[in-house]
Amino acid sequence: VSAAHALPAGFEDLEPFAAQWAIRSDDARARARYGRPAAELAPFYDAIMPRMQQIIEYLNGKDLRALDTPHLRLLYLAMAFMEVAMPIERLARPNPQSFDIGRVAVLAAHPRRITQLTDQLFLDA
Amino acid sequence: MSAQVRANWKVVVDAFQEAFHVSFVHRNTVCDAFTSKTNPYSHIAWVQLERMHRSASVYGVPELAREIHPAESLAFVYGTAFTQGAHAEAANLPGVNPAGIEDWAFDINVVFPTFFLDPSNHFYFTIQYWPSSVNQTRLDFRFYMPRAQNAGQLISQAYTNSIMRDAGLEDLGTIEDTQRMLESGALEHMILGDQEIALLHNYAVVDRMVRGEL
Repeated sequence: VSAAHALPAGFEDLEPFAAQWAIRSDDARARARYGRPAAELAPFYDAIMPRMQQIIEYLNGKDLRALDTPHLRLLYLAMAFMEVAMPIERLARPNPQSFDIGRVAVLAAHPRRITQLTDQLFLDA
Repeated sequence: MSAQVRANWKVVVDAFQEAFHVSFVHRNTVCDAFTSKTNPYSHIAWVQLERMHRSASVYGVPELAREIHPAESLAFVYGTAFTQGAHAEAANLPGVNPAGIEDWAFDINVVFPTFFLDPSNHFYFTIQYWPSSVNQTRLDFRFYMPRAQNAGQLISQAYTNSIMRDAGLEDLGTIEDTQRMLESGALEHMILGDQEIALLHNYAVVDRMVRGEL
């Protein structure tokens, strides 16, 4: 696995998922899962689910605002897990009436607002 | 997030001020957190009508009274999430859950005509509606969450973000159908039920304003 997808020691086995799912933006993470059938999401879900507790407790031991790139990737993978968990655990079948995500925009940036959850990591205290 | 929908602003607002749609529109997503044997159609827990504004509290199933999904369970343990309901500290904040509903999920506070502020479990969301013509409305959804202190809290926020978006897309999915149905003229009247008292209130306020009585 190239350094571009490296995860912290102990989590190397999850590196094959980093290219597709270690995504910083909430919006891009969401778009990566909408429109994909559950069968395509299942391998990622199945690999991460048994490791989630370990990942969270490992990352909770670190300073959230001083994570290096491999740790950030691991955090983004865990956040992506929360995206794919929706269709796997709850949506037995997608709601055909649901509004098309393609018609939804991210609100414009504003000095006092953040547009992505992970922006919190890079704000001044 | 922001979306432009082809519907009159009142039709858009209607979709977010009653709760009984949950067991139909959200049957595949958040239904289990808001419906139970004691309240199978998520009947509104409390409502208060002001001169123009209005508030309501939405029923939520207690955390221990239903099956919690695996990802949801992680969100509850390491942070807090939208579907956590009454056991959240937020239910006890001043001005939140004003009627002290035991099985509380969130409040809907409507600032007439086009601003909603809905406090929930450790976060609140607002919806700002921008009517731009008789049948065009833009909705801006904003989620406000406390700054995460650790990774677990941030990952839990991602769960809330995801489930709120799914439910929001489902809500948006019904609005243009309603507008098309109304424009077709097939129905001369639309009957609103008791669960839609907030909608009735909105139409009454608008009607009185148009007549110059308010």
